[in-house]
This record gives sequence, structure tokens and C-alpha cells, in this order.
Amino acid sequence: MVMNPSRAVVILVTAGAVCLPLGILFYQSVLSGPFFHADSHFTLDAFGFVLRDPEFWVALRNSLLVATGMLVVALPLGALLALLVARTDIPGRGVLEPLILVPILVSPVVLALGYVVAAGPVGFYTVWSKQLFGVAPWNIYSPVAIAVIGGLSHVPYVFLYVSTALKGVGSDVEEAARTTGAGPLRVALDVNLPLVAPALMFSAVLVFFAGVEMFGLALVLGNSNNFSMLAVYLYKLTTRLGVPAYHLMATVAVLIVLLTFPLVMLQRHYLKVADKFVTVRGKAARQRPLTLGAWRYPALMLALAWLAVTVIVPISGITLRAFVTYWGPNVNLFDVLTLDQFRFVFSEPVLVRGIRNSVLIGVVGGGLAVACYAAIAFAAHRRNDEWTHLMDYLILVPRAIPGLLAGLAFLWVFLFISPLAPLRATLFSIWLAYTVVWLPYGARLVSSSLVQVGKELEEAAVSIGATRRRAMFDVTLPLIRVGLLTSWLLVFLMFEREYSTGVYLLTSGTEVIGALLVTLSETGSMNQVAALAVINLVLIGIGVITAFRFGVRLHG
Amino acid sequence: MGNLVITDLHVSFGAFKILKGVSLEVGRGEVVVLLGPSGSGKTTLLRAIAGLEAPQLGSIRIDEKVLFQGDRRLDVPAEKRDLGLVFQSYALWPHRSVFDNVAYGLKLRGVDKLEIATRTHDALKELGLSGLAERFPHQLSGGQQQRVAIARALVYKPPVLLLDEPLSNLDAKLRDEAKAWLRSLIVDLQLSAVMVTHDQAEAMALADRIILLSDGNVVQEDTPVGIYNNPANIFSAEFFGTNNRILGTVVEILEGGRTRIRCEASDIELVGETRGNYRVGSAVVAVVRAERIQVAGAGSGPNRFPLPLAHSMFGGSRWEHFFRFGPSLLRVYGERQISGDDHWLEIQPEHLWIFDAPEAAS
Amino acid sequence: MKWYSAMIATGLALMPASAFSAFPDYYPPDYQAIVDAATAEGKVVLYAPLSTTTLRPLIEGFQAEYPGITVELNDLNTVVIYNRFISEAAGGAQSADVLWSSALDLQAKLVTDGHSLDYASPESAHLPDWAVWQGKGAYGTTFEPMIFAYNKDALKPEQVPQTHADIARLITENLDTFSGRIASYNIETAGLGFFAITQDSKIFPEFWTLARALGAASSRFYSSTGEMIESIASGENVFGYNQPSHASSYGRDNPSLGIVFPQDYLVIASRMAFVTAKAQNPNAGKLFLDYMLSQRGQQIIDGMGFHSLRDDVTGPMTREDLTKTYGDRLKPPVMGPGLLEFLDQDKRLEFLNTWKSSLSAGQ
Repeated sequence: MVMNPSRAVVILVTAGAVCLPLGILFYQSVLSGPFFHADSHFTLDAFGFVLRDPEFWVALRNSLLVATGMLVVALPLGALLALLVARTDIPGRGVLEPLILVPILVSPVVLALGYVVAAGPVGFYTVWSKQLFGVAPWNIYSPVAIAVIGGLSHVPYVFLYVSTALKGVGSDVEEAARTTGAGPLRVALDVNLPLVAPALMFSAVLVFFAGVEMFGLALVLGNSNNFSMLAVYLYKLTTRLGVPAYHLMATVAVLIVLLTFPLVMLQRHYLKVADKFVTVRGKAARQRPLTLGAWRYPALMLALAWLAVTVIVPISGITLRAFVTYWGPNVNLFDVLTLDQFRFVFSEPVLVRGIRNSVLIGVVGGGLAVACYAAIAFAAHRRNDEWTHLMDYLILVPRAIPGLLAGLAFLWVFLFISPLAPLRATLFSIWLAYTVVWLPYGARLVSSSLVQVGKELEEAAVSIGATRRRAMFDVTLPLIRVGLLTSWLLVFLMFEREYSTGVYLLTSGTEVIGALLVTLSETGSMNQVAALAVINLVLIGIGVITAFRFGVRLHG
Repeated sequence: MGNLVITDLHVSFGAFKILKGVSLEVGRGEVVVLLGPSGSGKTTLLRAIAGLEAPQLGSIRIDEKVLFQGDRRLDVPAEKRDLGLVFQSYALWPHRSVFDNVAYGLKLRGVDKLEIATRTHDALKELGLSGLAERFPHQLSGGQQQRVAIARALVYKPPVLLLDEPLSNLDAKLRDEAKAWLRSLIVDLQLSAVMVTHDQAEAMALADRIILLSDGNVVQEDTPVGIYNNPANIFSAEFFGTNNRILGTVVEILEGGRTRIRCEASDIELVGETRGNYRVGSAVVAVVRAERIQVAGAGSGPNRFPLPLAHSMFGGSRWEHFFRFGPSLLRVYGERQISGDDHWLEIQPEHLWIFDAPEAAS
Repeated sequence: MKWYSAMIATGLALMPASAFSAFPDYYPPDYQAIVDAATAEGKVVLYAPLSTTTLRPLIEGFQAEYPGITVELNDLNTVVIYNRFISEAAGGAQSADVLWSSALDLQAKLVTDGHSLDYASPESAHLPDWAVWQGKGAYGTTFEPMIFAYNKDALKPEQVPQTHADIARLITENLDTFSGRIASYNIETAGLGFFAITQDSKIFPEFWTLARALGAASSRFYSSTGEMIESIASGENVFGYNQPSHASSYGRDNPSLGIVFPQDYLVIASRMAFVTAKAQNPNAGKLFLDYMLSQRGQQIIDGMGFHSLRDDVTGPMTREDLTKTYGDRLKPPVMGPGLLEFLDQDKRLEFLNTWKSSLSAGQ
């Protein structure tokens, strides 16, 4: 059968956008020097160097330890919160649910900087705690703290998947357990837990994955204390040999891909199982919340404590920092309150441009990205040929490449693929890199709303004379409108948060806040960084509130 | 209304063969029902006609228009076939009003707005949906949804209407009403239609002709009366009605298409219709419908034999009696309650169909 | 600080209003030809690890002098500058006209790889010898001493090291105060930090004692200048070793941040600038380079906190000024192939390993 031309174009473009940068990386990893140098030749030395480098193994070990730690923190807490909010009569369920998702809105770098100001050795809360209790028994720079903070900030992801699964469990099965004499805890352990196991496993892999690739938190909190992780090791390789060692960087990237790809496949597997669970169960009976009794308020306290540590502490920290010129244990904050930093940011054309570009890339770029993800999802929709399988794997691959390196690979693509060269110094290059880096996430968002559209709804249109394309525009697209808007919101969030991918593509005129945060904290003063971070948070907040006005929900 | 001809159609999904060479014809104004157990390929056949499944071999034509021809690699896409398909789930678009659901096919055909309105309202009226035009699917009852789905498929006057289990989504009482309504609609509008069902009663009520499918092959095709009263093989025979299966061996092949067998369950000899290629001594299976066994007065005769009554059940319009027949039971419909022990039963030879035993048949 | 803004004001006031005003008498007679060509080019593309904010006075000064030429600044970190530039050069894409970076080794590598335009600036004669890379067209442009910073609230005056030797001694004497609270560059990621440390290792005989002491105090090593200085200003760390001289300007508003110019010797860092060999706007590039090196340009650079290296620029802590105090204990970097020393992979890794093992030996 001849493939329809628009589908062929979508597949071709996707393959190009994913394979070109990845191909350059793989190619670079087996060379002796930069791939564009004539005297570079084929060798596996880079692999030898990295695998013999003790620091690589230290970084790998640390990454695995932190990932495990995050798992230990995020999984039980996320599952517990999901259970409490989705299935019990905990007070304030309606308010808790959106609140729990707030950490998703905060970029890891902002989170880390916020923790430094709020809970670092001389942070606001540390000082207050010492004044009130005489001690502040935490150290945010310790590996344990990094794992805990990483874990706490990933609780929402576990929450999302588990609570969705929990909502599919009918009350009847829980009640059946209650009547045979099981208490709420037993019911949770014996009935709910097994039923949400696939969702739990999926989010476990997701959290572990996030731990393995952690960059922002590790750099800000770990690096100054000589605590290295894989992404930081990669980052250090840029300068460790003086001249950037592309072959080594590419090698580490390839190793990371090799390490994470099995995780990606595992995730894919659990996702399928979880999807099956949901579809097999079909419509669940109306749910009645479990009664917690005396445990209602302690449960609420737990949820609030988590929120305080994960959201309020770091965000209040970075916000305070943005409104003071300097700080420290002996500084009375009221003496140094100022709006100067914001005045400064808004008087600086580059920063204003960065803010404008960020809005542009988040709102317009996010919308365009969702359109692309939708095109990709449609190309694979309701088909089961080898092309669909190819696409299936293709869209998962970028998940495994660290953003920093993806940015460099895209710089190369824009430099050495001549038709693209004129676009390099435009926002398009950054947009394309973002779109590809977030492809696995975005395509999954769109396709998960697509699968909810009954196949026969499309066939009905085709059977009465609509072409497949027409059926897509008249039937499928209107039906997934809310799903697409939600994807737009989530992609907007990711694009606003993104900080590492843009660093190499940033040019005069195409600055974005995320990359500016990185560059400014290296060369500039934290005053501007804090103010920009707060502006970034406000932008994200405005985006979320606007989306809510249009009926978009992050969840449920 | 058109003339649909399907020749030697093969459909497989991977190595799995769903249709193994199906041929059939639907005449103008004829309603053909595809009947068969699940997995027989009837839905696949319907979807292949609609263009939603891709056959590997064979051809599908409507009048002079070739829709599919395997050897010419010709495959008209679903949207170009101009057929009307009614889905089992109705597949009404939840985001469109009843009017918009029905009008969509006309819009696609570039009909001007005014005419769309007229024709859509006519179609709605025809199906008893006047006044519901502005509603949305979720505001309709199941029966109304079904009518909208049919209206949507009929509004642009397709040559053949395809219906996939149109009644299965309705509850029992509604289904009976809808069955009568659908038959009168089909007759009134003189539709050519192909309908899929797994329910024999539905098939017999609605069909001009029934095509019985099993395992991807056409087992038999005939009018409802023909197929019920004159099954070509044991599968057909046992698919309809309530049946008794009597195992035996051939004693004698008689003149006039009759055969005498000795029953395995007892020493009774019975004469029935010859419906297989067996010889004297072959193992055979005889099938007789429950309503074709008479509880007769006492006295021996051809095809008469006494059996002890095991128990009876009252079924409203009739009684169902169970007689001990060797190790198994023989099921007999009767109009009256009977009691006592032994009763004489009689089977007319034309109602006892003697087939090859399934093992030997293949 | 008053002198800072006053200086800019003076600088601006002294600037000639027109592009056609006379050049210094030592400029070649045909210099106007470069100006005309540059004006025709209309812009100069600059890669530098400096924000527009920091660089604004210099850009404004340049544009006041040559109104027809705009300066397009790309604020990139030093490694990104190198990566971007060599990738762009290899791809034949449009790139920077002037590279101006503090990563001396990377700059030197680019120069020796032939990426610089051999342009003899008419200002060469007015620069110290070490700042001119003869025959390569590369120039040192600033005079930035590596200094110490400390938190005034956390350290008593007698605990503040004044010399390199003091650091090890005071750490040993006040281990509780210093432990976990000394900040410096992470020399694996921060090029300036690596440069300063290698200079120290050559100049300061007890350098490895210092390294062990830093290890003993569980010192913390930063990639980001902003975070590093902030950590000292806030009191999270109490002392910063090998801080960039512009740390003083970050600390201007913060009364807690104290600055020490080490008394025994000063390692001087300098930002190397050159016009790129395949510049799209070579004349504008030359003009910008000359302007940076000129007396007017250096006056502005001095005002920006990077200190002038010219004799005829006055102000506190210019080269001229510091020479009075330090004499030959100023250790400026010689613009030349010597900067490549630690780009040798084995040598560099060996140094890093020694550094790390010294740090852990101290613990």
C-alpha cells in the first residue's frame, strides 16, 4: 500500500529531528577529536578513557544511590498522598489535589537556589530554627538531602499516576474487604496496592530515571561539595581536559543512553500494563471515600508538612532573595528590602527580551510543539505497521539524552546541515531543540488523549464519506480539544522550566529565561538570578491560571 | 438501491486467516443477514465491505462499481465507497448535535446548506426523531441514539446500508420493538442492507436471506424459512432452534433419499433424511428439532418408540419435556402437560436429518 | 561608590563627539580607511562572558565614537564561546568578529590554531609587553588581580589571611571557624580558577601545603562565580580564596563582604581579545579592538572594575597604581604559547590528580 504523503512527511521529519542530533552524538563518540576536524579518526579510546576514569564510576554510583534514595522517598509518599486524596475523607481534598502538583511548576535550578537561601547553613529558616530551637538539624548539601529533595519534588509524578489508577478502583472491592474485617490500612495494602501496582511501577521507573539524569539540583547543591553525579560529570568533562573533549562528552552521553534506554523500555512496558488495567476494568462503580476517623487530621498534617518542605520553603526562599539586596544571619531583612532588582531586570533590554522570548517560546512554541506532537501521534494512530513501531521507539529516544548535550548536538545540526543554517540564530533553533527534547513526554500526552476516542467514531465518519484527514479534523480533534489544551499547558510548563537545552543555542536576540539563569549565575550576580527566577515563577503561575480559566486541568 | 456482489474474499490479520474465501450477493432491495458465532468472521466481512478492513484476495462490487479487486490491487478507500454503516455502539459524535451528526454526510458531499437542512429534517422525521435535532447524543435514550445512527447512515441515500449488531445495545424489551420497527423501515424504504448479528431470532425476523458463517466460510445461505427447515449440514442444523442430537450407525440406505439408522443410546431403529455421504455401518449423527418430536398416543409404528419421562418445564407458550434416552435426555416441545412414566414419541422421517458424524465428515 | 560613577561620567564627557575627530598622533595616516570600511560593515559581533549590563559603558563609549556601528554582544560562558566558535568556524557559519574571553588557555588555543587575524594594533606600543602576542594579533585587555574575599561578620580581623601563607596557618589555628566554610573555584569547571591555581602553584613555594590546608578545611569549590561570591557575602562561607577582582564590585552594596589584596604577590588575570581570522566585519572588529586598548577605552574598562593595564590611565588599582605597591610581585600572564601549557592532556590530568590527592591528604 502506498503511504499517504502527509504521514510520510511526519515520519520523515520526526526521524530527522531525532536521528540527526543522536547520530552526530554516536558518531562523535567513536572519534578521536571533534567530528568536524579533518584529523579525527575512528577509535574507541574515548570509551576506554571514560570507563577507566574512577570519577565516572563515582558519579555513576552516586547517581544510582541518589536515584534509589529518591525512589524510597517519592514512592511511598506519593502513593500515600494519592490514596489519601483520591480515596479517603481527608479534609480539604479539593484544595489539596491541585496544590500537590505545584512542585511540577518549579524548575530544579530555581528549587535548588531557593533551598540554598531558605535552608542553607545561613538560610532564613535555618537561622530562625537556630534562634527558636537552638538547632537546625539539616544540611541541604549532603547527598542524603539531595536525594530527599529530589524525591520530595518528584512526589507529584507518583501522585499523578497512582491517583489516576486509584480512581479506577471501584468502591465495591474495597467494601468487600471492609466487610470481611479489614481496617483501612489493610484495605489499602491488600486491595488498592495490588490494583495500582502497574502505575506504581511506572512512576517508580520514572522517578529512578529522573534521579539518574539529575542535573540542576546536583550542580547547585552537590557540586561545591565535590559530590558528583552523571550529568555533572558530563558537564565537568567539557572543561576537565582544558579544551572541550567532544568525543568524551559524546561517549558519556552514549553511555547514559545505553544505561537509561532499558529504563525507558521498562517504563513503556509498565505503561502498557497500566493502560490494560484501566481499560479492562472499564467504568468503575461510584466511589465512596474511606473514612479515616481519628486519622483525618494527622493525615492532613502529613500532606501539609510535605507541601511546606517541598513548595513553601524553597519558593519563599527564592522570593525573599529577589526582594533583598543581600542577606545573612546578621542582616535585618527589613533594612534591605528593595524592588531594585526587578526595576533593574525590566530596565535591561537583554533581560526583557529574555522574558518576552520565554513567553513566546512557552505559549506559541508550546502550542506549535503540541501541534507537532499531535501530528506525530496521528501518524501512528490506529495503524499497526512497521512505521508505527519505528515511530514508537523513535519518540522515546530523546528521553535518554541530557538536555545540555542535546543542545550542543542541535547546535551542530544547525551548523552542518546547510538548509537549517539560516535558522540557527533564531528562536526556531531553540524551539526545535526543546520540542525534540520533550518529544517523549509531549507525544505521550497527546496519544493518551487520542486513545480515549473510540475507534468507531472515526470509522463512522470515514464510512459516510470523510477522508481520514477530514475525520481527524471533524471528529478526533474536536473530541481531544481539552486533552490538547492540557498538553499545551504542560508543554508550556516544561518549556518555561527548561534551562539546560538552550545554553548552546542562545544568541543575542534569542535569550530565554532558563538559559539566562544558568549564564547569569556563572558570571553575574544572584540578585538578577533571583529576580528572574521569581519572574519565571510568576509567568508560569499566570499561564496555569489562564489555562484553568479555560477549563484546563492538570489532572483528573 | 444497488446490487452488491462479493467474490472469494480473503482477509487475514497476519498469519491469522479470518475470511477464507467468502462469496455472496445482495440483490436490490434485499436484506441479507450475516449470522454466525463469534469469531466466524461476520463483522470482519461487514467491515471489509465498508472498506475498514483490507482484504488480500477477491472482489467487492456494487452494480458496475468495483470497490475492491485483489488481483488488480484496486481498493477504493472507505470514504469513497458511499455506503452507510451503522455501528454496534452507534458511534455518535458526542461533540455534535443530532442534526450535525446526521447532516455531516451531506456536508461532506458538498450539498448546499438549504438542502442539507431539508434532507436532514426529512431523515429525522422519517426515523421519528423530529424535535430532537438540537439535542446532543448524551441527552438521548438508547433507542433514539440507534435511530440517529441509522439516520446518519441513510441521509445521503447509500446504495447499501450496513448494520453491525444494530440491536445488541438495547435492553430486551426495547429490542423487540426496535426489531419490528427496523423491519418495517427496511421494507418501507426498500433498502438493500447487510446486517451482522449473532442472534438467530433477530436474523430470522429481519432477513430476506441469511448467510451463515463459520470459521471464515459461508456454511449455508437461504431464506430464513429455508435455512431453518432445510439445513445443509450439521452446523446449520444445530445453529438454529432447540435440537436433539442422536448418535447412531447406518443400517440401510433406502430409496427416496432416506436412511435407516440404529441409535447408539438404545436399540431403536429410525428412518430419516439422507444428508451425508455414508455407507452402511458408518457412524452418523441425526438431528431433530424439539418441536418436531410428537408425543403420540400409545402404539408402535414406523419411527415411533416409547421413552420414560424424566421431568417437564413450563415455558409459558409451551411445555418442554425431557425423556430419558439411554444415558442422555431427549428434549421435546409439547402443548400440554403430561405425566406418568413411559410415553410414545414419533418423529416424521423428513424431520430427522442424518449427517455424517463430525469426525468422519472432514 | 562615588568614584565609580564619577569616573564613567568623566570618561563620557571626555569622549569626542564625532567619528571624524583626530586619532592619536601615533595612529597610521590611513586609519580613516578602516573607520570608513567599518562604518560600511555597520556592526561588530562580540562573544564575551559578560552581561550587557556590565559591558554597557564600553559599548556606549564605542558607539559614541563610531555612531554608525552597532555592537552585538553574545553573553556566553567561556567554554560555550570556544565550542560555539570552533563549531561555527568548521561549519563555515557566521560567527564572532571579536572574541574576548577570560579563558586564556582556550583563547590561546584558538590563536595557535590560526583563528586570529594578525592585526597589529596601533595601541600595541602603549601596552605592557606581556599583553601583546606578537605576530598573532591577540592582546591582553584587562588587569584583574586574583584576590581574597571574606565575611566581615564571621571573621575577626586577625583571622583574615593577608598573604597566601596566612591561609594555611590561619586554617590550622582556627579550624572550627573555617571548616566547610572556605570557597574557591572548582578548577575542573571554572577556567579562571584553574588558571589562578596553576599560577599559584608556580609562584608560591608552599602551594601544596596550602592545598592540603584547603582540604583539611573541607573547602567548597564552585563552578559559578555568582553562587560563590553570594555564599561568602551571606556568611554561608567565611573566606574565599582566588576570587575574581570584580568580586569587590558585587560586594559594593553588601557591607558584610570584605576584600583582601594578598600582600605577598598578586596573580593577574587578563581577558584576551582578538579579531577572528574569518570575521565578517573585520574592520569593525579592528576598530573595536583598538578602542578597547585605547586610553579612552581602558579608562572605561577600569571603571567597569576590570582595571586598566595602560600607564596613562589613572585610578585606584590600575596596573600603574598596583605596580607602585607590588613592583615585581605582580604576576601578569604573558600572552603567548606558554598559556597552552596545561592544555596538554596528560599534564593537565596529572595536575588535577595531584591537586585532588593533596586536598584529600589534608583531610
